[in-house]
Amino acid sequence: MEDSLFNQMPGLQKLLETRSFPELTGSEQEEVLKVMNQDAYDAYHEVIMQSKIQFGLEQKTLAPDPSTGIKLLSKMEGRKSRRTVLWMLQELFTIRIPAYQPAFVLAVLVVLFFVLKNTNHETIRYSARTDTVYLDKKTPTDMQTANQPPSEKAHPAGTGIKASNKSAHSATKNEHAVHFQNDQYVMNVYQKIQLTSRSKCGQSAADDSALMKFLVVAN
Amino acid sequence: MDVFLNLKKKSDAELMSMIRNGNKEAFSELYSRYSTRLFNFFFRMLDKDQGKAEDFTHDLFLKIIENPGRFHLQRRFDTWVFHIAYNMCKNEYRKTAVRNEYRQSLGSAETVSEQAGGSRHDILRFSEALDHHLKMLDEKHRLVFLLRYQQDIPLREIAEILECPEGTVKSRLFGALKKLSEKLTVFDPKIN
Repeated sequence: MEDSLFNQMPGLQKLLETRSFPELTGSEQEEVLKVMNQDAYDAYHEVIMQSKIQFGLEQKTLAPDPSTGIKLLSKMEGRKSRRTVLWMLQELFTIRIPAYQPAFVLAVLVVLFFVLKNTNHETIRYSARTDTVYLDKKTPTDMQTANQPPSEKAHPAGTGIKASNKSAHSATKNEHAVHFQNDQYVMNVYQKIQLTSRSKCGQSAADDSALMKFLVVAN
Repeated sequence: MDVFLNLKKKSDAELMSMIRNGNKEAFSELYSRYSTRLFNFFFRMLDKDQGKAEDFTHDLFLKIIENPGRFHLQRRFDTWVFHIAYNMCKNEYRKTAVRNEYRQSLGSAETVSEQAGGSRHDILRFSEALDHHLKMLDEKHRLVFLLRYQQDIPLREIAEILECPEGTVKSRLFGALKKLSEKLTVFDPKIN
């Protein structure tokens, strides 16, 4: 309980540190005597005074080695040239700003995020449309070669049974080509498969062989 | 010469601000203001080990050089620097546990001197007795006593340094005073 005497009598600590019991005024002495006797007051006062004198003498005689200060200064010189980005960042973190400012910046960033997000959606729709347009492209040139008439020079008449067979064969090819041209639906499907297969070409043997099978059957 | 005179007029916070910008003279001035105070504080807190006190003073100032940004200009410099010093002492106690060993040895020494009789006490001077009994105090009481009467720091700031309520500081200070006066009355005829 006695440990909290300084808390019980708020002015006691100051009195002990500054004046001896006889130096106190009458009212102060009365106040002090309520919590302790004169001997105790004198004892505490004396310890404080003697300690202060003792510490004061020590401060005059005890000092760190002067070389410590020199060492530290040379280290500081070394640091001076190494002021880097880290230093700048540290400086930034020491700056204090009101709380509403980062809150406002955060709110602006959130709004910007949503605005930009919506803008991105528009772009995606547009690219989807271009994809569908791409499907309406004309028939590739390799299909056109099937419509061309068979070359007479390559298979002149009177070259025997083989020649007549070849011409007959090219005639059936022409018929097929005409049939393909007329049937737009089949052409589109063919085109679609061919485009898909082009993109997949070389990815797997199954894709390649499916395309080949279709081409053979079509021919 | 004018530069040094101007630096003497500057506050600790202003000097710290200059040290942040790499000003060597400002550091030199701050060192001259606090090195002896801190050295004496460490000397007492580390059982009067002069070598350790030297090292700790050096390390503390090195911390200031390396991280001057840690000091907030709104804060009092002495409160901040003694808070670091206090933490360094705490770490040292934890690390070496020298304190407990030392206290044990002192305890046995005291028993011997008490057995020798009161005449031996008369030879001891007050300063030696103070040294002896300060070492006997536990860290918390000794720390508060030193900060108040060696460093002359107000109680409110001691509370800030120790990060505890002012009431606790007052209790500890009175506790230290009471213990010391009980021991030291033997040596001083005035107190007796």
